Amino acid sequence: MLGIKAVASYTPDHCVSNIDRAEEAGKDVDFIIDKVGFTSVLRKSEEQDTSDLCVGAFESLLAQNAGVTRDQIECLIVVTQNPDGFGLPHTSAIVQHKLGLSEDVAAFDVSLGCSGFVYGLDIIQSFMASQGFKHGLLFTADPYSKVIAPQDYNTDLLFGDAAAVTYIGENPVFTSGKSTHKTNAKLSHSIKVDEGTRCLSMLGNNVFKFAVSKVPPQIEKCLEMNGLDKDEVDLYLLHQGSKYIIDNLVPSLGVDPLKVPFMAAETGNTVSSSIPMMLEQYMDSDEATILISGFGVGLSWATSILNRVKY
Amino acid sequence: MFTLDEFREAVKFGIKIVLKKKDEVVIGDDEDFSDYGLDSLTGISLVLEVEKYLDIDLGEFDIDEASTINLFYAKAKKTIEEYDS
Repeated sequence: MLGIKAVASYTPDHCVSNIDRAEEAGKDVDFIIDKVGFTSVLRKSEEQDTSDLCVGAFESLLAQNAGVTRDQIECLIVVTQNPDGFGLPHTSAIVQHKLGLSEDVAAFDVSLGCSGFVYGLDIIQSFMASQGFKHGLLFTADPYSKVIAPQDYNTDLLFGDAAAVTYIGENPVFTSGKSTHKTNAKLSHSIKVDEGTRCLSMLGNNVFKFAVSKVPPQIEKCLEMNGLDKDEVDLYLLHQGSKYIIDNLVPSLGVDPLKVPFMAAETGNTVSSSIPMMLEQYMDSDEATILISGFGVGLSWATSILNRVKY
Repeated sequence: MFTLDEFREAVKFGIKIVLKKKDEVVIGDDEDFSDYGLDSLTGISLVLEVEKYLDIDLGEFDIDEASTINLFYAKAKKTIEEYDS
């Protein structure tokens, strides 16, 4: 039985304080703390590329003594829309090389944003099952600082750089339940890299409306598919788009706010890494049933259930 | 189509919900929402509440360009008329 054996993350040393630049950004400090929610955002160095963040996450995984060794790895996937260079070659191949993995490793990228972890989990587990693989790595790394326009505070205050790696194998901590995935490309222009400026542009109105109107019904559907009542879920790990989004999703879900944490105050919105970075904190906890839901670029949204395995 | 009176009620109801006010909302038709405590994020929530109250869909609506009841009403009316045509 395949599932999640371990999760590790990499966060760059450098962070930018949103509090210090609140005035410059034309925002009240209270607005940043209470609404945006990100008091600081992580920033990779100029020299670091996306693959380096993945390598950092893998080193964290090794430091956990998660039981994985380089020679065991049979496949790796990198979920990113901000790949090394211009995306050719694919970042997963660069990661394979930088990690010194065998050429027997299957490596490919998946182009998804904030829903990418949920999709990625389903993809890697299905791929591994079909190939009979027992050791796989799912990386998420989407450093938006590569495409954020200087002083575009509509985006610069939100996004942080980080990476996570999820080790998939047998005798896991969590197995996946049934998932649901949706897309609405009619609103794809809501989060995109502008062809002219090659910088990120975001229509916050559309994104917020999308999140609060589309995510709760999908979560309900996912619970139904898994035969769960909302109270049977111990933890709801929702993509950390902003504190305001999380705060507005909670009443719609009708669950205890303590079950829907906001944990990205000091990192920023790390796109597809936001869910695994939270999950990393709960790997050794008591929560038996965890719902994960990612939503954003595409517009794309995906929800799944993680069940802690009892041994 | 909604009237200005109906729209005003919807906006007042929306502000009450969004800002979690206990008392009735007293705001003039030309009073800027920001003077009443709404910001760029609560403004988006206001649009959603008005949509729910009036059972309408304003689509991709930017309230930054409609920061009073009168401006909001005019833009919402135009949006719905364009959609209907």
